[in-house]
Amino acid sequence: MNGIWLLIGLLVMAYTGSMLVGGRALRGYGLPSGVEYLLLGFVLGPHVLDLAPRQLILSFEPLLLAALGWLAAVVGVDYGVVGTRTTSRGTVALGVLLSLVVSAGVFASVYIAGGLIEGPHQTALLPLALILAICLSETTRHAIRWVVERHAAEGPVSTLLADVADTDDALPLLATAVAVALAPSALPWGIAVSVGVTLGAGVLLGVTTALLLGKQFRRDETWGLMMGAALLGIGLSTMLHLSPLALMFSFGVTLVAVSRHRTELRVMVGASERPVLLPVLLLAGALIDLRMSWQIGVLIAIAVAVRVLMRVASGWGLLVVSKPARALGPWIGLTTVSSGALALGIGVLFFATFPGEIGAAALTAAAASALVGELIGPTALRRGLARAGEIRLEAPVEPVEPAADIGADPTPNGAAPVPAPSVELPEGKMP
Amino acid sequence: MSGHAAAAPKGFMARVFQATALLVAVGLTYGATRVVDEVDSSVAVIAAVGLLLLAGTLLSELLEPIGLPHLSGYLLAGVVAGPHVLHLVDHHTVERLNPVNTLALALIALAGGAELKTDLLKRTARSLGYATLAQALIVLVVMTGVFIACARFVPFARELPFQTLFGLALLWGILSVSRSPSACLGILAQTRAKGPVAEFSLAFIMASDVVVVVMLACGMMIARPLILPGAELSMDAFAALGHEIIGSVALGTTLGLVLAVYIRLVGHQLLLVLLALGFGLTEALRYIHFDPLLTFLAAGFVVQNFSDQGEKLLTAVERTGGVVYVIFFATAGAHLDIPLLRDLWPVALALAGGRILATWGASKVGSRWAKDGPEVRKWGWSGLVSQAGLTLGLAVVIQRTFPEVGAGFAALAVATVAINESVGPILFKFALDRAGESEAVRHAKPNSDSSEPGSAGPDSAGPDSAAPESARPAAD
Repeated sequence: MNGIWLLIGLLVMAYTGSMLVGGRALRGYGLPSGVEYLLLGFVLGPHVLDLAPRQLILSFEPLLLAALGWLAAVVGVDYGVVGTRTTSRGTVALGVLLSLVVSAGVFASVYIAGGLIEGPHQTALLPLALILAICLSETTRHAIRWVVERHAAEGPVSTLLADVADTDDALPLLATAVAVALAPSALPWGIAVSVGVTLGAGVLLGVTTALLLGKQFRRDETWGLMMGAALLGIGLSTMLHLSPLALMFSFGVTLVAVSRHRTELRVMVGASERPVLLPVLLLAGALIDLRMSWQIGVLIAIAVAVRVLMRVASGWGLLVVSKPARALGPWIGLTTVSSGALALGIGVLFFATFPGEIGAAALTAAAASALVGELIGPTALRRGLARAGEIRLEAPVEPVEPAADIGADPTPNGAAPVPAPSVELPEGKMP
Repeated sequence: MSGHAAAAPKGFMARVFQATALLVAVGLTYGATRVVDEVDSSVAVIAAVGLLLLAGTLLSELLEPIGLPHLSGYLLAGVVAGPHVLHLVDHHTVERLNPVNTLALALIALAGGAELKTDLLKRTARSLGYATLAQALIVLVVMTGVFIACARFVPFARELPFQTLFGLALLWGILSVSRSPSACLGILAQTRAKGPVAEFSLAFIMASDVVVVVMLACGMMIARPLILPGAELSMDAFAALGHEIIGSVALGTTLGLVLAVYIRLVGHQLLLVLLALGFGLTEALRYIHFDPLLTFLAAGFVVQNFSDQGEKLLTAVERTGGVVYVIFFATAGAHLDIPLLRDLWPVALALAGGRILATWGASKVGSRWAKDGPEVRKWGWSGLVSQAGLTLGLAVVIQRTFPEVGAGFAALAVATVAINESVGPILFKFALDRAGESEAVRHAKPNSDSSEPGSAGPDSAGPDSAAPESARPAAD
């Protein structure tokens, strides 16, 4: 397979992804976290069929980083908004706190276990523990949405879980700025300066782009400016060995905070998420490198297991802040075990940033976590929501959405923008 | 070539924001390239695309009030950011942006074909026929002569025997007949011009691609024995040319039909389909020695004229092209070899000036033969000055065929194209404004003091008379 064929393959994946958010297709098809595309990439990659050799896949790494940066910008633009509803500050704090608890648990366990197990990994134990903790801290919002939409869930628990899954993305994305500053290739600026430059550049680009968009929303101009600013940000951060994900997340958050066109931007940019996501998952699968020492393998297993445990423990926090959630009982945390695209994206970033098996461990851990999450999360969520009386298990519903064509005009005929929410949840009091 | 062409007028503060943003983008990139000693080239490509896209868009906006076309802004952004001025984008990175050019050329050809409506061709058939004849003959003869006359100032041609010089001059004459479809489409998309000059330029330039390809094949056949001692006159080139043209048109027709069916039955995600076609099909066409430009031109023509999906295709191409074209022209600007132009500028200027004069004269003759209207007679030549990728592509073909003199020949072609590429779009936009065909000028007319058609000056195309926001997004 040469580069062109791989590129065509990726475009086909993008096409498939875009059709999955189209009006005629059902979002509920496929697996909730999209892990099947990861597996497909793994099967096509060097470990199984070798249709896409490692060198070829690695030549796509810059493209992959650009796609990941764009996805981070999408998350930033959409941050704190679920469907048409804005999440409260309390929910944002809760989401960040839960992911912090989980990542702290993973970090501590890997750091302690890594110190006990003799091996070459001990020379880079701190960054290893940190990147595994960051990779495994989030709950994928896609899996929560998948279950909620497929079963037409309605109620405070679905709302809470969707909000938490949406808001817990901030911590891992921002934390990549710290982790990348610890990479061997990082410039000798120190962590604080690196993080400051990363976030500062994102904010600067976001403010600049927002000011350029001006008073009137012009679709084509917006695409040009956003793509230009995004690619510049991704390229510069990669050149300076900073985290493109942290920079683009801060760019996205700043852009919608400053621009008066936030609704149009969310619709416009949101439509590009799936088409970018599926090729990323495919490439991430092909990049997985299992050639690592047994010590690293053990640490990955420990990290994934501890993540599940920490998710269960963090679920108790949900019980404290939400009365309706108590109907789900002490295992409520299992409903948030799903992980997916974001974790894998962060894994790919670390794969590209940390050479050798440290970087490979991050991607492998993210993939293993996605697989484990796929087995536990959606089932637990479905049962939990049924127990809370928010869905009926026997009747999956096919949601019909308006077509989300990339490049489609979010304000057709100059009419007022009509957002295409992926989750139609009722207004409800946030915990 | 983005839709900002038709944006509502922008005030002083908007321009200040744009200038500030441009400085921020350039400053960030400048700082980053100075901090890091060695940059992975694949990483640099991402930053380069972002910078060229942002700087091209902003500079085109900033140059708009003085009446310069957006293309000039894109080109200038590339020149300034490129390897010879600020060195924010280096040579290697510019080379790595070739896939973007591939995609842009495919989209330009597709859009060009889709713009060629049969009723337009019927309307302009007489003009096209005579203009093609006049341009091909007069420009060829005049520029062959000019090249021979300038030979003593051309380093690589100074010592050549007359026979070899004549062969090279003939090829130069053919090169001079080539035009720039991308520049034409870019200016038309920005100005949304409607009228005889716009129609004539579009139809002529698109059709002239085929003429130039055939002329080059003939020219190579004749020039080979003149330039290469011992070489014989061979008709092989015609067999290859027949294969290329017929095959490309046939494949393009099939592609057009498939595209029309796709748009009708599915219609979604044309952007991704166009990306796949632009990258994948172009590569496949090169492999089987078909001409991608001709194939996509035929495909666009078929969709426009043999189905009712032409407008949808045009809109999709314009939306995709909005971003791609900015990068394409900015990359072309970064490609411009400034040191070479500095060395060869007197002779390049003479050749470019001679070509402009020859084009102007040929246009007058062709218009007289065809009995064209006054606008075409006066301004029909203005769109034919630009040269870009197609000309450089032909120069590379000549360079490969005649390696002994080809390098110098190609360098001179690059220098001359640099001048034509810079001057051509400005001339064409100026002419469309003066002919009263630009949308901004058409809109300004009812309020204008002058009631004479075509009397609107370039000033009236300023921001205050820009097209309304509701207008269809432009490709440029």
